[in-house]
Amino acid sequence: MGDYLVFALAGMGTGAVYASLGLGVVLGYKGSGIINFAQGAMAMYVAFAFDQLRRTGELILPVIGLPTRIGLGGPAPFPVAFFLALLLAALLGLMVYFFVFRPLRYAPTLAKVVASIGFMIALQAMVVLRFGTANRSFAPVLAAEPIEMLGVQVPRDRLTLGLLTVLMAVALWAFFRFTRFGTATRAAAENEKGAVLLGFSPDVLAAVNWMLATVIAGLAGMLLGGITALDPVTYTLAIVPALGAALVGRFNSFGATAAAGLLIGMGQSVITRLQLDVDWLPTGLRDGLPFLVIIVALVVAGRSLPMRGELSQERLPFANRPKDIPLYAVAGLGVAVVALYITEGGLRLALITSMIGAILCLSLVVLTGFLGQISLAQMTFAGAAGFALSAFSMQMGLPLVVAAPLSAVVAGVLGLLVGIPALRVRGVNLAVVTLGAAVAVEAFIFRNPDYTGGFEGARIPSPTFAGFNLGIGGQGGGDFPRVAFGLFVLTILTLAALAVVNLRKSATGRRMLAVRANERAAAAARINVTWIKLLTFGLASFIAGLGGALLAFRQGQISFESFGVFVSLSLLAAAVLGGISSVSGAIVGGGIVSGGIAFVALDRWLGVGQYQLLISGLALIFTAILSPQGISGAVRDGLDPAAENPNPRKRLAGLGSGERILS
Amino acid sequence: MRSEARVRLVSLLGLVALLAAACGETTVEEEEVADDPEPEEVVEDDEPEDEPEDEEAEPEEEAAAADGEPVVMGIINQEDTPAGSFPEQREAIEAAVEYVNDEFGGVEGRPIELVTEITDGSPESSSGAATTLLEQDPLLIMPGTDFGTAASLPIFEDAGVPYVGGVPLLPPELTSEISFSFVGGNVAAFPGQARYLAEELEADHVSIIYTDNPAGLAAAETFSQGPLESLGVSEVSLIPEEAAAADFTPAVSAANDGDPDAIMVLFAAQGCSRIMQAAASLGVDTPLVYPGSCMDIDVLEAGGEGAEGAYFNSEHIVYSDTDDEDVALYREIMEEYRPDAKVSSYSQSAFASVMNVYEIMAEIGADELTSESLIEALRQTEDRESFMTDNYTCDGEQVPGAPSVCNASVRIVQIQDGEPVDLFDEWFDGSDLIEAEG
Repeated sequence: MGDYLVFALAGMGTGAVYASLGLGVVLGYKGSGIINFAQGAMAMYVAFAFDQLRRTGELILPVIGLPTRIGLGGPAPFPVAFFLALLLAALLGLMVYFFVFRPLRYAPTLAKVVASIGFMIALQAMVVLRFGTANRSFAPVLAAEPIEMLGVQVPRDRLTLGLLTVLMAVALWAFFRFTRFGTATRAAAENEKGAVLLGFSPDVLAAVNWMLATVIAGLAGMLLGGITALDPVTYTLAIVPALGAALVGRFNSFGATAAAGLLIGMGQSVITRLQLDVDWLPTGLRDGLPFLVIIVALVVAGRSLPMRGELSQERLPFANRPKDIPLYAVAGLGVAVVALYITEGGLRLALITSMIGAILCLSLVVLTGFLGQISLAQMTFAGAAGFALSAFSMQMGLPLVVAAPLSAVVAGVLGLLVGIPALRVRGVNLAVVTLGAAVAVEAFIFRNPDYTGGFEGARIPSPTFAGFNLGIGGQGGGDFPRVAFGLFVLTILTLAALAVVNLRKSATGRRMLAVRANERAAAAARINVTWIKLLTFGLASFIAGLGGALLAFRQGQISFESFGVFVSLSLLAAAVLGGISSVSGAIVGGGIVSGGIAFVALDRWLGVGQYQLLISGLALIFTAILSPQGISGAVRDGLDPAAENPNPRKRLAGLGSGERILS
Repeated sequence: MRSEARVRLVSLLGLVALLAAACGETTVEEEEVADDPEPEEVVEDDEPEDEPEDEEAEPEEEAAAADGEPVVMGIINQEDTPAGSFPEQREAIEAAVEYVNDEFGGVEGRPIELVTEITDGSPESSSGAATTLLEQDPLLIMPGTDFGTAASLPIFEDAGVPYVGGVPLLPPELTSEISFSFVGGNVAAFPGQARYLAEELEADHVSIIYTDNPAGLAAAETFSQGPLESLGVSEVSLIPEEAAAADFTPAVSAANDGDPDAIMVLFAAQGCSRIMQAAASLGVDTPLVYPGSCMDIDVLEAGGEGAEGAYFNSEHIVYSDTDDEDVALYREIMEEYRPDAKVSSYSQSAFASVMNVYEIMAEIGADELTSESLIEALRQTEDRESFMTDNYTCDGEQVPGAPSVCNASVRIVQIQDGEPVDLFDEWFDGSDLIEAEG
């Protein structure tokens, strides 16, 4: 028992990471109504800047008009570096609020989530570009020598950090409870109109709260840098357990958030020890723990985000009614077939990748564009299909003509399961659930060699149909990638696109849009909301499964890295950039996916390869702010601004004006 | 609406500024990269025995003579990505190739021409890079490190282009017909360490901290636990941990539970330095043994106090041993051609691969040099002297289940006063301890 207690204490370092990031997320939400998925990335950036100040005395600034780096003439002493890093954090917070989140104050939830994710991607890419990826030694801020407790050595700094986190939570509570500013912030969250009438500016309140949240993120990054890694990945990924902690606190209670974060970290440490004694504990339990916390907090305990009394207008991406389908289909097919034949090598491969990407984007068009449900785990469904395809074909010996559609059905069933919590949660809550689910599925299933093929990954046989080899090549056949595989993918894409077009035009599609606009009104109009939601999740996941199976055929051998959390986020980015609510948007989105035609072409002509992630992240923010319809929507508005597709902002201006409760 | 448009315009300008600021500046690491210095005359007694003798020639004259049809060598390497970046391997290949062209005029007057594709470790990126490289019609591919190898190697295999050198990491690199590695990577490192721990340290209880993914589990079970138990180690504990864990203290505490005789660490560079830090903060005095891939200057510095006394395997004569003429040449050429590149085990591997391949290409001769002739020549090597490593034989039988590995020997090194020190001056080979599956 004492042994486990020691491990629990050793886990306070991890817990402090989660708790402090969670506190920053809660602070940002209380002040501005935005859940910042980039909280960990911000902590990381400030930690890097702090390290650079101590190392070389250079302050790195991403600000126009000022020099990008300011040299102080030598390594900065600790107090100077600490103060300047906190100042940089405040500046970063102000800039981000002013340029990114302030324009989105009255935007739909999707736009805010997308902008936050775009910011996370861009910041991570910026750190890689500016600071490189080499190992960095980070002189710890706190004393790290061990102390003896119960006969075992425990690092002193982990205990100190746990204590500091608790103190931070207490300080924040006191600030919001006893100061005028804190009271005003709480008032604005309850009733924005009332706060305005009392002379408070919600804008100023939000800006200051946002700066505070960034400063806390920076503080966390600097204090914790001694125990975590100074790399672009660790802090960013820690957002998932941090969100779990924030959910337990209902994005409102600092105390509950801090306690939950610390307990998650300590729990993971105890599980590490427990797995030595208990063989049958499932692998991945430790990494899946945050997801279990999210599920319990949201679904079982019925806790959702506190309502905010904001002045807002829901401005949803316009899902136009498709027209001239035969013309577009024939033209598109013609262009694609010609392109497949005239390209070769890298360009043809990029074209095929784009077509598969378009199918994956179609799944998001159905789920997010038509139904308005935000999923950050579409690649998880694709991965489920890929691994199922391997199991069905290699282990069970099923012919591919059966195994491939069956694997997509597996993805559809998984989607139905994920859709069940979606019946109780929506909006950004659902985004958090799907993010946690993606991490959990990766931990429990994708990384488990019993299910996914172990060291060699999962092999996929080359597809054939009626004696024709539809494989991509690379197995002694020469001419990689083969046109036949491209035509195979194009066929599936065409069928999927036509199916989605017909869905949009059908009564079911209209019901989906009705549920998207207003669930209660849809229910009042006798639409079976539960059925529509489950059906949509299943359909969207099935389409993602088709994409996953094709990805598996493309690669011939798959492993968990192809279907991870960041890949899902990149896919969402591409789908939103392309246009989340139309088939043409999915086609454009396919062009933008990683390895797709847009980036390969840009890389060859302009050499932008290393900037791909940064461009994606910033483009995502642009899209969220300027054109929620994405590229295809912007083009469509430009070509046909009035007639049958009036400006969506004017069209929806009459809806939801005045005070509205965001759900 | 007008003010809303103004807000959007301002935010657009701000984001453009951010992009310009990010793109316009080099990284802190790149800042002081110098232009390539003028090549100098090579010190005479640094030539490996079988290299063409040309010690007196002026480099300028040799460069002018290398005007034959280029020998195209493709590089595929992962860089600038959060998953892991290995520019030192590309830089070592570049330095070695430039040295070979300057000093020897390439392969009988045919200069080696490098074409490079950088990946981000994703399968899409790797397959794209492979396809693009093949458009340049390379004679061979010289790999750095690429996590997406499973997607790229089949493409090279299909084209019959040999994939030679580097440190093999993933299954295709260990098993493909056209892959040839002069060192064994993890399949050599861990059995070699196991041999040292069981026979020299006489360990009876060993803990293994491994990266929590299928490849990590295989490395732990097949290449570490199996060999240890076959050598009589009675207790082997396996502790998984995520590569991106927020804190390695719990894992290191679990590994140290029960007072093991040694702790093996099966992680990549970033994990190694953090485990060193965690071990120091816990006051762990159990010997920790790390893979050779973690033995580089940045990792040792990042590991702080925990690096001192740490054990590593090394596939090469350790890079600090400049009494060895191969190592001395490597250090000299790197200093001359790529002075800011990192010195590390990975860098050594890349450099040595070029030197070994060049020897074979020079023997084949400029007129007979093709991908097929190179593959055939490699397959016929037997106990051949290697640059900075133990002799190699590419008969497909050196390591069970890993036919691409031509040499599985390692040295055991310990960090003493901040420098790696070869403890035994002899090679450890644990390949006979591996049980191949299937």
